[in-house]
Amino acid sequence: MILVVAVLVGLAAGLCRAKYGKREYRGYDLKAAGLVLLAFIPQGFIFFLPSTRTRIPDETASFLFIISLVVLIIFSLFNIRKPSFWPITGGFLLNALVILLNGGWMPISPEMVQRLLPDSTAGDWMVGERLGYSKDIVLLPENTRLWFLSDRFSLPDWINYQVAFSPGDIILFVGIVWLLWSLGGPKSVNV
Amino acid sequence: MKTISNKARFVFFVLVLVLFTLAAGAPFATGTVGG
Repeated sequence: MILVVAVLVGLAAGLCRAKYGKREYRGYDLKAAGLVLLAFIPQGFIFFLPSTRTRIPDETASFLFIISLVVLIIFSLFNIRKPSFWPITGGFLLNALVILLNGGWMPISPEMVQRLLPDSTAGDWMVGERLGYSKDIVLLPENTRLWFLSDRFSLPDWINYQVAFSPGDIILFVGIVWLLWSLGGPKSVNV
Repeated sequence: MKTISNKARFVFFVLVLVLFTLAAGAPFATGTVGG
């Protein structure tokens, strides 16, 4: 959910930029946008809908998640020619790569889980198992392929919001803000 | 009509971007679902 903040921040910045420059906020023509809707449907059932995510076995969820990622990769290829979409695509592909190489889940270390869930008790989570109904699987760093691309960052303690995120998530965040900011700029800028 | 169309396209673009963000990102946040 934290990445939705990037959309809000980028939109606000872009709209302010357009208003300040007395320009119209430009539209952006994404190709094959229907693929995103198609890819989100299984993820909605697996991760977001409480009534369905508790009923789908992890193996099925992982399979559907991978299919969803493949659909998103196809969508990214359709839009690869748009320079402003490169960081977004890059961030997503880094996430997809580490997920695909680790059995269809985003790795997170036990140390990070303990940091985020200090009150959790034995049995709440286990190494080698999916973490709740999230996209994450708890793996030791030495058993993680491309560990440096996993959910290994967290916010400073003084921020009262506990979240772990990956380098791909950071690039996604920056890319979304940049794209939405650029749409408030002059038309001569190629986006 | 053109204005409505542009607004509709803009809303659709933002919707697609939000869904892409939710589907492509993989953060783990406590107290939320889906990261």
